[in-house]
Amino acid sequence: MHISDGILPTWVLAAGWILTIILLVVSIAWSKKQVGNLTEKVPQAAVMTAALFVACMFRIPVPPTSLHLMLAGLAGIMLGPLAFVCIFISLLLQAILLQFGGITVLGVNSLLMGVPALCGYLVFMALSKTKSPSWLSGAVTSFIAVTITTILLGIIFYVSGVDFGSLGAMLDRVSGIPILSNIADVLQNTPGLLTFFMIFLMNIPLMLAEAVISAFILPFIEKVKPEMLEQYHLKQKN
Amino acid sequence: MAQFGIDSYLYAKNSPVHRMNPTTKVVAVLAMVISVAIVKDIYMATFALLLSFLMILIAKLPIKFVARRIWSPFLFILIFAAALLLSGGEGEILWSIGFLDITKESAMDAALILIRATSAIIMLTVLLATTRFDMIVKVLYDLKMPVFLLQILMFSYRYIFVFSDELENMKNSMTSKGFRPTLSMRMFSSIANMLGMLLIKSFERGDDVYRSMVAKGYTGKPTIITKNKMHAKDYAFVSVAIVVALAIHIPALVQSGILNSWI
Repeated sequence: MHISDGILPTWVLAAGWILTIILLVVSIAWSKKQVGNLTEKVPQAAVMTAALFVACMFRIPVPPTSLHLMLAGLAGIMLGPLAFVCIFISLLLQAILLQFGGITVLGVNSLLMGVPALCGYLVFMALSKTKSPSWLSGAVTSFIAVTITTILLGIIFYVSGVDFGSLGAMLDRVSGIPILSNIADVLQNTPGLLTFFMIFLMNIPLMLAEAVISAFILPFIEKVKPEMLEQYHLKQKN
Repeated sequence: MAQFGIDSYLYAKNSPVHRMNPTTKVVAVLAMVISVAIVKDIYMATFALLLSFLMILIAKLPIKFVARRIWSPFLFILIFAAALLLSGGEGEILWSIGFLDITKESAMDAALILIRATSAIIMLTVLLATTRFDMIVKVLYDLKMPVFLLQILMFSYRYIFVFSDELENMKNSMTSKGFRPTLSMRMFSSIANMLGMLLIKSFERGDDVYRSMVAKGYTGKPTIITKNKMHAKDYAFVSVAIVVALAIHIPALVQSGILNSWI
């Protein structure tokens, strides 16, 4: 996600930075607890960050248009707790190199992608304990990651004053039609639901594309380079 | 590599902005960007937009180059402004287009965001198009960014170019073998294998990089040899930038009545 500078209200930006700094400290400490010496992890994490950065830049052709992947779930699987740090760096690089995102919103953007990555790591860990096949765990992880991003994005838009109120007025006018009017009523009378609905609608293609791509990537990695997924102790197929 | 050509104008042009001390430039522009991104007064936002155009002129950057750089983030800003235009259902109705009623308040909000977001992004573009990446890293180091983060930043920067070339090669070889994008499982599977291969290559490379760095005496502490010392005029410039950055908030503060008790 790249929300630009100058869009969100000040308190949202400040809250984003504070939470991001807390999560950076927590995830570095968490990672230190797992591997001991972090100096060894710097090159691997950085190189993986670069690869994920490039993979995100790649446009998946979905005729008639194309979309960018987010790969937050995959970042979580590959990098573990360091995923949050790497996503922070990757977003900083996007701001520096491509002017995607920005400086004041770096905190909010890191939360939007980093929190799903950390959740993705935990989900994949839990799923691989249940001995489910890697394609299924991968697809579920990525799907959940994009869903969490969508929910966070909905919350951030709603508290920033994007409530699609005019669309609500439009829904008023279709209230003659039986089923539609019930749906319109619910959408209008629950605060924030309209915002969620609109953002959810926009993100459905991304959710599906990410799930499908992950469902193919994980078995591929499992076949070609099983060491990469060593820590999850996936069931070995012979 | 062409897609990441932010450095392309660095050596081509010579302007006061190019010659400025990097630390001065980064601190001054950051102060302005942060200030502009949260400004609440639409006239002050317009002033910032004019200021950002002035910066393009002084830096002698071609308008075409800047326009190309800010195009895709600008699209996102437009979409968000449009979403904001559709928000705030109550209030004085300005336009009524078909089913949609657009209120005056939401139109003002959308305009403010459009202006301040555009000026912030132009200022950032001018900064980054006139400063070398290693200088930015050095400034971040001087500004006490944690070393661990800084090192990941430096290495990722290096390998982004390597992997983007590698992906380009893989893409070309797939196309030459007859790959055409169609919406099918087969297309997804081919692309997933390609991206998976990229991740595997990066995993293998990470090990090699670490071993070769240890061989060269890597201890985890960076040694940065570029030097930039700030002089009196640099401090003066930074002070002016910070004063301007603070001053553009005065109208909004006066309006909200916070300052009235002081004056």
